[in-house]
Amino acid sequence: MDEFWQESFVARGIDGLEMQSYPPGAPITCRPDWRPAKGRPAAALEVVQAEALDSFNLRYAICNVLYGGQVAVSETMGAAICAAINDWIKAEWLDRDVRLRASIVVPAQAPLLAAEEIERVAADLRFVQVLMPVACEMMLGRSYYWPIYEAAVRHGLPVGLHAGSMYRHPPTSTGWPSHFLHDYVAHQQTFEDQLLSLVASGVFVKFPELRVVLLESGVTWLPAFLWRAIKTWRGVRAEVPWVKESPAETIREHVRLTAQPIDAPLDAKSLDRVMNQIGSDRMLLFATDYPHWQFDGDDPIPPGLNPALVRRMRIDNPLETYPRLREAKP
Amino acid sequence: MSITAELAESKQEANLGIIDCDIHPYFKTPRDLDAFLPERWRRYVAEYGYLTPGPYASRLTYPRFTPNVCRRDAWPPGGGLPGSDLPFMREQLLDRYNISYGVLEPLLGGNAARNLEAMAALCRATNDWQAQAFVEQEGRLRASILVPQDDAEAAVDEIERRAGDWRFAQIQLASKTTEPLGRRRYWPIFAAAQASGLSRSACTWLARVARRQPVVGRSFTSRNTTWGSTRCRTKLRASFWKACSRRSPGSKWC
Repeated sequence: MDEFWQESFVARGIDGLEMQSYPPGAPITCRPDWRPAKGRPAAALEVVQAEALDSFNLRYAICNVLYGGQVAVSETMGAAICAAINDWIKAEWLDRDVRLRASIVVPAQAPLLAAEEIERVAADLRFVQVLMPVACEMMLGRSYYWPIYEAAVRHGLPVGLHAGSMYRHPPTSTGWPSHFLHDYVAHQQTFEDQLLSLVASGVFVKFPELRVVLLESGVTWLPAFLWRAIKTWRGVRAEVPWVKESPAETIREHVRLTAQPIDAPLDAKSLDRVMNQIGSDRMLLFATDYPHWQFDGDDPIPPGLNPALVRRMRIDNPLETYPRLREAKP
Repeated sequence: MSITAELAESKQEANLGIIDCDIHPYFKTPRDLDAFLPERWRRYVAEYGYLTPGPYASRLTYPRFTPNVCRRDAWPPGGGLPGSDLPFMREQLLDRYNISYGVLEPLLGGNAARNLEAMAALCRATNDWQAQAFVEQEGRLRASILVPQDDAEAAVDEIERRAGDWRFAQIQLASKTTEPLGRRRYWPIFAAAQASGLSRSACTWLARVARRQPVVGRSFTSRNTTWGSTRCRTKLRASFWKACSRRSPGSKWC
């Protein structure tokens, strides 16, 4: 950070910018066996190496920082924090373990500043994605956000939408829930809304090379959502004539999902069926969501997935989604 | 009587005290409220915080211009937040300015929690804390009754619990309610206030993003401050006086 911001944060006593979406003490925020007795989870490289990189035998791990810049009400403060985070992740993490990659965190509340940050950082090929929270100030298909997509596409970077909210609006379409449980489950609604917005606004027509990744969105809601989107589009497609193909085709081509949580049904057989109903084996990306508490034990992949799909999730789909992963530069 | 004697007499009788209607007490440590909370809510706060409608888990939406939005000379020499140290409060405020009475206005977030049961528990605990940690130790201070305003029944319960308790001078409502204060859902609170004989204050709450209020455009602290006061005034003026003055002619507001 430059001198102005350094002094601002210290003199004004601004600290503790953890997002409301992940209250530090909440069970979802950290699995109990990953929660240190003192200090923050996943805060030291040695800890992350032991608990995640080595433990899950990872060839690459993409670091997605969720912190205050991405949700700040001030455009300039948000941009300053995001830039600092990107510099920090490079110096303290990427430079110290060759397996690590990262997303460029951007202030989506200020799309022009977000595009500038992408420009500033994208030359470092260890940054493989642009990251935003899924719930922003407007629907993400709006042209207001197009400078972000334009910059991302120009640098061959997918745009990642992660579970999490700027909380400018209620988490649901009918108001503010009373419980965190509701907030968290209601994210599914937000992911659906944003996909509809991107498709209906013609973002994938304007940016045919754009890939969007949904992170920590859950997976099993996808088929039913696609069916409803197809059906409704057939009825009212005259409203959006630039959407020349079924929304399901567009989404299967342009959208990817991290498979943590999968939100699997209780029996393994049903999970396999749901995965088939998605209609594509190219969409899912292996993920642990470390240190969030999504599974117990050593295996992030639930039982019931067919081995061919698992192989695609672990290797082929990530390499295809994040082309920069092929360039293994230190 | 001679003029000199009259002047001497009037000097002895004149002793102008001040009533300070807005003193903000703070916790020494975040754990201070634990002693006043049932275990269930202690654990809830440890896991989820206060779950208020804003982007941050443990702080206010708008970063303030000074730490804890307090004057820089108010940090007690012995440590802790400004407003948390009673001896220093006496020295710096109560004794220095000859404060006869001071009304505590906690801005600690209990009445901003989205979980209404948590809101009720936090309000009750904050009220107990004010009474024990401040009012009972210092006879010049009086507490405000925080109420879970979005749950009128629980709010009335809290008011009736404290009515007649000398340690409490007024009811506090957060200015950021879910709907404008003149709406009927809040009238049971005003009726209870009327019955209890307590006045009500609506403190401008600068700290949180309002529910159902647009935030876009309010990027800076100074704009938020103005907006908060405007909204506070607008609420009171537009809907509230009309409705409630008519209904509760004896009510007092500050």
